[in-house]
Amino acid sequence: MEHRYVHIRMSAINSIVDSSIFNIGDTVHFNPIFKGIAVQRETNVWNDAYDTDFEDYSIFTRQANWIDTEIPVHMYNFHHNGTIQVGTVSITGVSQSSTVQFGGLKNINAESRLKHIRILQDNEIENT
Amino acid sequence: MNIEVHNWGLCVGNVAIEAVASSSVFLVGDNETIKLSSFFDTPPESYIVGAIVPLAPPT
Repeated sequence: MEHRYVHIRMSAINSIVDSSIFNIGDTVHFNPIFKGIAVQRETNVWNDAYDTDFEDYSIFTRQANWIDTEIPVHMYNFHHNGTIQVGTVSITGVSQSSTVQFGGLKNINAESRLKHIRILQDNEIENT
Repeated sequence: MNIEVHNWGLCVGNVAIEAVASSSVFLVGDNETIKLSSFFDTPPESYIVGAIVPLAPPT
């Protein structure tokens, strides 16, 4: 894969979290995996039980069904101008196995799994 | 399948993005293969009102 020089004048990124990457330049392989359980509890006691495991929920073991026939593609790249020019970049957030890349990126194989749980208090008093 | 790509110039002016989230890609440049998968799950039984029940289902 031929390489090109990246020229960025200014970039401002607020937050990069949860196995994400901001890259200026070339990358060959990028295989991020993110697994998360988001528990929202309406209570005034901090929950330090940490009693949830990934094995309890089937979302973390399910397989994505990819197309099985790989289409043979032969790509020939000719870069007549060896630089990538970028002006200003302003991004608020990059999260959950994502990437912001200026330059070559050969293979990406990203996976992110998120389970949400909400536990609200039973407010019978207010309804009566 | 054969593809011949001739790149003369690649200039990007100003980019403003709110969020790049859950297995997504913002790429300015070359690429060969992209495989992205994202699982998101908030079924009705994940919405619990009332007594704080143990989160782990009885296995």
